[in-house]
Amino acid sequence: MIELVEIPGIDPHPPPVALTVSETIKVDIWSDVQCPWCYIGKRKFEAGAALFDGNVEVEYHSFELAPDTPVDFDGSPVDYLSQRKGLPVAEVELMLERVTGIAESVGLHYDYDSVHQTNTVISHELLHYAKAHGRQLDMKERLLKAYFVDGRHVGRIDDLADLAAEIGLDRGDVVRALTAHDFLADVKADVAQATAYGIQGVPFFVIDGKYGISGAQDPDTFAQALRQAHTEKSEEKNK
Amino acid sequence: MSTVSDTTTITPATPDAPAEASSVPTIELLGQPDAGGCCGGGSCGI
Repeated sequence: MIELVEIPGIDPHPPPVALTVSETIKVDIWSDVQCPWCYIGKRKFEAGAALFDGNVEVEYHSFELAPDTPVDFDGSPVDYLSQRKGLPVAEVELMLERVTGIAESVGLHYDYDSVHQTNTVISHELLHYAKAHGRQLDMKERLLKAYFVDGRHVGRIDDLADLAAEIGLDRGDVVRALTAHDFLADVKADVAQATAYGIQGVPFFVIDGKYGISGAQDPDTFAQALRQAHTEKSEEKNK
Repeated sequence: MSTVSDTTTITPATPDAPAEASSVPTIELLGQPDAGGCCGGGSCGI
């Protein structure tokens, strides 16, 4: 017969402890390559995820801010925004100056003088190609940096294939897939899902399919939402 | 349980079908309403 012996300082009958395996929280992010707030929001989300003591799985989805933009827009981003929004050039310049300053505050060095305004649909196709090859996050970061920092063109297949090759994807296969528009339907499906969610602007974050966060919010907001989703998911599993 | 303030709810935009018939779940909106974002031809930011 086994007898429980009470040892001073140690409770021989401890309360049951639920064995919990850390739940992975899925985050779906709608974003466009030419959205300055999306890159800033990406950095702020990453900072929030770092504050969250858990696992996060991220998937990017396509959102086209200006699907009618020509691949080779004849003009600067200032010209483009001034025409599109009907704002005076001076006001647009102030907007870009402000967002450039905010980007700087999160370590991003935007260079609007070198930005090539373009149509981003093929870059979204490339992001889906990269996802199919397990490299979507690297491709997303490369495309945003290419557009806002490096002055690279992100609307032409050859330029996009170069960027894909830089992260180790097969350049020839990328050219083939983008020329055939293998992933165009996936882009359109993402856009349709954004519409169904009621998303009108980006970045837009859907946490665990339950919570939506719009815009480049502070890291604490993302961390708190991740903790909330994690707590609820753990509670549901332990019911 | 931690909470996040300024909570509102948005429902799926499904003009051709009632919301309950949609496969897209309702999501609860968290965070501040004035964070920077891009909305193409809309009136927000860039």
